[in-house]
Amino acid sequence: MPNVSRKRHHRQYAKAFPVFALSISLFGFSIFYLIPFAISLVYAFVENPVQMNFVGFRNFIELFQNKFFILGFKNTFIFMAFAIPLSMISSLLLALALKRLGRMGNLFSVIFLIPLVLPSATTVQFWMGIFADKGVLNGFLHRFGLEGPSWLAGSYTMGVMIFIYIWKNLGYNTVLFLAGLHTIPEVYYSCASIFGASRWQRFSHVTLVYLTPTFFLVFIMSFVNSFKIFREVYLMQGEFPHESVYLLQYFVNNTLLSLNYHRLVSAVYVLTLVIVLVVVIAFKFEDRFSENLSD
Amino acid sequence: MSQCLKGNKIMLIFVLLILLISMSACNSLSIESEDVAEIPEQETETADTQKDMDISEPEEIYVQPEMSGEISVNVYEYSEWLETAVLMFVEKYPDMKVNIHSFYNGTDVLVTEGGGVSSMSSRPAGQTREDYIAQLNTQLLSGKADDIVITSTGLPLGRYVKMGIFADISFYLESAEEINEMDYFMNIFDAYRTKSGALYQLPISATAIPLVCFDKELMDNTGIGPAEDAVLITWREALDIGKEMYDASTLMNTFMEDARAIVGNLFTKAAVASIDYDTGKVEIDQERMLQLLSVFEELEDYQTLPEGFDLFQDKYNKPYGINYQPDTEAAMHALNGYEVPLQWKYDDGEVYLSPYYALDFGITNQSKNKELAWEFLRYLISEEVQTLPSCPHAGVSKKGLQARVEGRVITGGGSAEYAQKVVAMVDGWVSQITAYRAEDTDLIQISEGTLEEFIDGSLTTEETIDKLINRLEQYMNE
Repeated sequence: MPNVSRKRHHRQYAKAFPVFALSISLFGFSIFYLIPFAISLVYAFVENPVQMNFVGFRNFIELFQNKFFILGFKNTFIFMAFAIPLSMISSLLLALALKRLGRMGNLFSVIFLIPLVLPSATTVQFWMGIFADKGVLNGFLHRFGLEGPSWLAGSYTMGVMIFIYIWKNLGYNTVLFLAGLHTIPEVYYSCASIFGASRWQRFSHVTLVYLTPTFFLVFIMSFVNSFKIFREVYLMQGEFPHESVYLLQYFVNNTLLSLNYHRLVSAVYVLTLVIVLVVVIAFKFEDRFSENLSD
Repeated sequence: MSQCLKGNKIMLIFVLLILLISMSACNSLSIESEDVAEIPEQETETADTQKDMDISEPEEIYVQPEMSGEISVNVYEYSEWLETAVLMFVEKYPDMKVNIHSFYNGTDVLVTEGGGVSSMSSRPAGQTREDYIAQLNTQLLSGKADDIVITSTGLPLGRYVKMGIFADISFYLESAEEINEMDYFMNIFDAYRTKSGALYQLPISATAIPLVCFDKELMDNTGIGPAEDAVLITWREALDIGKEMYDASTLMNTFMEDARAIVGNLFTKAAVASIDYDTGKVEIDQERMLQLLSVFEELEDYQTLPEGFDLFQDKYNKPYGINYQPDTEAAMHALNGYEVPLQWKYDDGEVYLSPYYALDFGITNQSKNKELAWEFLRYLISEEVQTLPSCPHAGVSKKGLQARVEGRVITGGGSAEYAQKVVAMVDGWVSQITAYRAEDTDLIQISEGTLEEFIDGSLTTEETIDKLINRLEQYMNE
């Protein structure tokens, strides 16, 4: 009987301890983020933070009529629509290549992580040297008699930012995919080979399927990291970026600086809703796939 | 589990509903702007161009409150004059307490350049004017601002007025019988009023009068200059005369230094004036801006000097200069025959008081002691304070201006008679003021920054205008 009691205590402790450990962090997070965030919702429904006249959903309506909010939303969407899939595909391909190298692959994966740890200011200086109008790239093109475009102030600017994003996050996503690849039992590949599956079939029916949870993880991390590109964009473009890279964070940042708190809070809540929606939908799909996988 | 799923579904539906309601407004793009366009002018109070308004008799009667309590004043930097005024005020009203919250109390750090010490100075990080404005903004918007705030620091007053941050003090001013045409420059107070006649800033100082001062030596050398009886001059007239003088001058080191500065200044003013704070629209007169930029380019030819000439070491003659702190010095220069000063009249027909060296205060609407705050401001513009030797610039009080100008002339060795002439000249200038435009520092930086890109050659004239419009729109709509 004492053994039963000890086991029960142990089980209770095992359940309670994680809650206790998390609650400390959650407490801090609530005090400094969650609660102020919830309180700030009030500003979304008033005319301005000084007079505090209730205006209902007017701020949200005006927000969606604001051409800069719409521009930021559109550009952010375009950026994500290209940057995230391209980043995931390139890092998957790199992970597959590195897996073949065995231990050397691990070393390379560490090297690929370097862009992520470099300060943004440093990387921006580097890329500006490459992509400036009289930079290395245009200089290279000039040698062949080609006139390079304005990479940082024209229609190619979004492409440059996507490239920088992929370059920066390639290593991190590759590490995640590598870890995912290592969890796939070799026996599945052996079975597939025995049954006469081709390379592509092994890849599509084994690798891709069992990498699904990793895919979702990489997708969510890429989605979150895609917002961080604002640092590089801001450092390269300044306060008044080219139209094609005017991201939503510009709108949020500048709204804060110009004291339009009601507009800021409205924008932040809309953005938060979108992020929560995307993450919830992603988790829903992941849940379903994982169920099928375990079946 | 099923309950959890149900909860998630409800949450999802709720979130989608909110999004749908907000996005349903996307089609009604024109409605809001039409509504806004119909708002009658009286409701749009901004700190932009201000004109004379008929001042009606106050309906209420102002009664001086019991002079007992505590008020606070927020300023950017310490001022001996202000502290003296506070001491005098509390001596007069012993039950009053006035706290001055000064953001910057240190001494400026002289910037060394090339081993020497330049005349520039800088404030340490965290103590700059921008930092002050950031802190003030936070205080104002969180309801923790002082009763009185200095407003001549490049604050975005248009926005503040729209948000109701500052109180309209016209009632108090109109009720003060001692503030009248005989003893005060009432035109200065009127210059600060908004289109609807409201007054959100009380001017304490009124000597930042832009003057165009022609060089007498060059006038004698070329025989060209403004008309003898001219009092006011527009930029175009000054520019034309200056160019004539430059072309006719036999002096090789003639240099039209301030000409470009005038045009740059006009460019900035036109940009700032194009903004409608109520609708957030930017309506730039593109033709005028293009003209200004063309003139700016054209003036490059007038910036050439003999080979080997060192702009910082060698002496040069300039047909005219712009003076923003005229009062005593400019008048003395004129009376001594060094310069011929004329007051700058803008293209809109107004004679502006410059925001440079302006000193004005506002009472915050949050203040629970508005009457006491007004009494303090009223005291700051009283003859007693405005005649103090440490009063910055000449004030709005006529006797104050007289005392200050006389003091400076006589201290400088001038005679009493000479001092009277100087007083009369400055008095004449101050009396001509008809308008004041508070300038949002951010807007000025945007237009000056864009102009710099044009000067660098990064942008053509058309690109400069487009970029300026985009940036101003971005600033107004974010």
